[in-house]
Amino acid sequence: MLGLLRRARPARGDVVVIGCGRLGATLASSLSEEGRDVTVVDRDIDAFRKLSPSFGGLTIAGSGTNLEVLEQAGIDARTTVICVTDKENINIMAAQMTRTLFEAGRVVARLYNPDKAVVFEGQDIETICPVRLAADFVDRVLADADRAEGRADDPADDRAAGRAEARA
Amino acid sequence: MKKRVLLIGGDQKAQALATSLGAAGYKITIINKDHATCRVLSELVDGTVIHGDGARPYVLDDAHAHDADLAIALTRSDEDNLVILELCKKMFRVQRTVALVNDPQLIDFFRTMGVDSVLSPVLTITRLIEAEALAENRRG
Repeated sequence: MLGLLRRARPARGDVVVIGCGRLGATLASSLSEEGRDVTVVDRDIDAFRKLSPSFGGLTIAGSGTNLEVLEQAGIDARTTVICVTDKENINIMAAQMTRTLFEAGRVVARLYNPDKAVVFEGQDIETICPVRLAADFVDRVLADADRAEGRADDPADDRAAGRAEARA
Repeated sequence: MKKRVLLIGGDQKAQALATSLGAAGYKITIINKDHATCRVLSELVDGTVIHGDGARPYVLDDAHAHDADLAIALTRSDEDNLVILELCKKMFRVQRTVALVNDPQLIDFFRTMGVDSVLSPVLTITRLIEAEALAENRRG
C-alpha cells in the first residue's frame, strides 16, 4: 500500500491520516520517515503514543468527522487522506466529508465489509479491505506452495520410477 | 397498499414513531442493535422487529429494505445514520430517507450525500426553547 501512495503524484502533497490505531500509527510513522508532511487525527490523545519516536508530523486530537477538526488539518487538492479508524462507518463518513467538502486529491478508506463500498458510488474514493487483502495473500501463498510441490513431485516420481526399475 | 416504513435505531424514539406511524396506517419494520430493546419493542409495537446492525447490508436485506418506501435513521451516531441511509438509497433504492443528526454542522453535508430530510434535535429543541422563552418575555 505504501507503493500505492508513492506513485500518487509527482508533486508530493501532504498526507492526513484519520485514526491513530495500529495501522494509522504505522502508516503515519513510515510516511513521516519518508519525509512527507503527515497530520494524524484521533479523538483519543493517548493514541498518539503509538507513533514512532521519530514521527515529525502534526497530531490533532478530535473526531475525524468534525468539520472544525478537518478544517484544522488543512486538507486541499494536494492532500492524500487515509481513513483508518476502527469504526468503518466513521471511515466512510470522514472519506466522504474530505472528498466532497474539502476536495482532497486522493482519499482512501478502510472497510471491513467490502459490500459497503457501494456507498462510494461515483465519488472516487479508494477502499482497502483487510479481509480481502488477507484472503488474496493466503490464496497466493497456497498457489505458490502448490506450484513448488508440483515441481518437487516430478523428480520424486522420477526417482521412484528409477528405484522401481533398479528393483526390477 | 400500505406504505412501508423502516426505523433504524433509537429505542424510545422508535417506539413513539412506530406507534404514531402505525396508527396513521403505515406498516412498520424496526431494526435495533440492542437485544433487550428489541424484546421491549416487539411487545409494544405492531410490526416487525429485527435484531441487528442496520449499517450492514444483510441486516437491511433481512428487514426487506428494498420494499420500504421510507427509511428513518435514529441511532445516536451520525456516522451510523449516514451509512445506513446511504445503503438504503444506493443498495436498496428506498425512495425517501430521513436522518436525525446530532452535530447541527453536518446538516448540509447529509443533504449533499443524498439524505432527503435531515433533522437536528439539538437545533429544533433550541429553537423551541428560544421561542418559549421569548413568548414568556412578551407575556411577562
